[in-house]
Amino acid sequence: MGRFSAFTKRKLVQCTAALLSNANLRGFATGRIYQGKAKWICVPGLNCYSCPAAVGACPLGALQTMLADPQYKMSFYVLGMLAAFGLVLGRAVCGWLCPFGLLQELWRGLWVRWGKPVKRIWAGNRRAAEAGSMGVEGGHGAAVGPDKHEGAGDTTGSGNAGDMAGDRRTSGDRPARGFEKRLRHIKYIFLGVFVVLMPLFAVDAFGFGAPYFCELICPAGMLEGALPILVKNPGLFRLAGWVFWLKAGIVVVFLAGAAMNTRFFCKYLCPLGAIYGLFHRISLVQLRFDAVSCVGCGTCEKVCPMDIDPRKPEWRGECIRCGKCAGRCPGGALRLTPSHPLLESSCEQNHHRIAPPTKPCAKLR
Amino acid sequence: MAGRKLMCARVAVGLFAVSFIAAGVWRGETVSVLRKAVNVCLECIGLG
Repeated sequence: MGRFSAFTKRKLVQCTAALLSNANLRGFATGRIYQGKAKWICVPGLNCYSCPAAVGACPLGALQTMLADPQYKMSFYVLGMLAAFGLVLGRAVCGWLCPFGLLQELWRGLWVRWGKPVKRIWAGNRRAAEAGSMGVEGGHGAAVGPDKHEGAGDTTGSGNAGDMAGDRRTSGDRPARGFEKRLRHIKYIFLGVFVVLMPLFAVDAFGFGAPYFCELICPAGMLEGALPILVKNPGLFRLAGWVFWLKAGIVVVFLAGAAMNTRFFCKYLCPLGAIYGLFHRISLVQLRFDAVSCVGCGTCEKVCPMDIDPRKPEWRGECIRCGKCAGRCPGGALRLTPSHPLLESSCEQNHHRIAPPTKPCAKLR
Repeated sequence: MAGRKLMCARVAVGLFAVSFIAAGVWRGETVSVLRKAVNVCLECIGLG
């Protein structure tokens, strides 16, 4: 493994995890889902159990199912599994093991690599519209603008072969910080409302709820489940109602968002990421920041697929521990390391955990 | 989080996880999860 770059190692782990979660590849050919006994085990990442290849249960779907069942109204098993994954890996699950995260990175990579003609057509249409509204002279002036912007936007992180496969960003990825930070709270709202409260309290006459996040929002169900099943069983289309078309619209929005913005779903919408984010202080896999070694170049912030500043403590819950910042840090100030669960001094904690560069550990001075 | 606190939090969450998984298995939740997972979830694929 030593000759592989950090990027390649992560991609290998991601692909292996996706394959292990979706080992029943024959299901894509038959259009039938796997029905073996292994499906009682929750996989760590977001992976729809209606995907024909899935061999495990989606923790989010399982949690909602148990909460919606009047026999249980609580799921010790799923909560225990989530706590175990959160304790060991935290949001490293998102960065390393989640098949839906990998899917987004691949889709983003395709867009960066092959989406340029679409972007040019889009820019050309806009230019033509502006020329039409401003007249010939104004239109000439407007024609220069978009090209400049496009050129500037594509330079971020260029020159790395790994970037071509999904992590390269454009300047358009960075919305305004304050507003963008607020948008990230949507996933906590989804977690509270659609994953917990609605399955518990929005029940029918017999006391049964429904997995409302899966039913109304989750694009993974459509992309991983509905698409392969409907291709092999087109007769099921007759069951499609307004919910199906609502979810189809959500998938279109998701695909557009994921093409324009790296890890769009993870940043703003994923309740599973919100759950794992709650474990960011105690999880064994930590991104450590050494304030003394930091040269303040800001490369970590520029390359981060989650658009956060990995040096600042307020972003810890958003960090998916992909390690991209650690790989690019010129001073070696950031390190992605598993920590010993019990043996760790308080001084090391203060010094090495993500902390503002202005506050190094006093004992080490 | 200081070292001792961190250690306590990790041990507590670890015990919580193990005991919750055991309680869930004892309550038969795994059977319900399996029953849901081996059938096509019509809600998930937008047909329910």
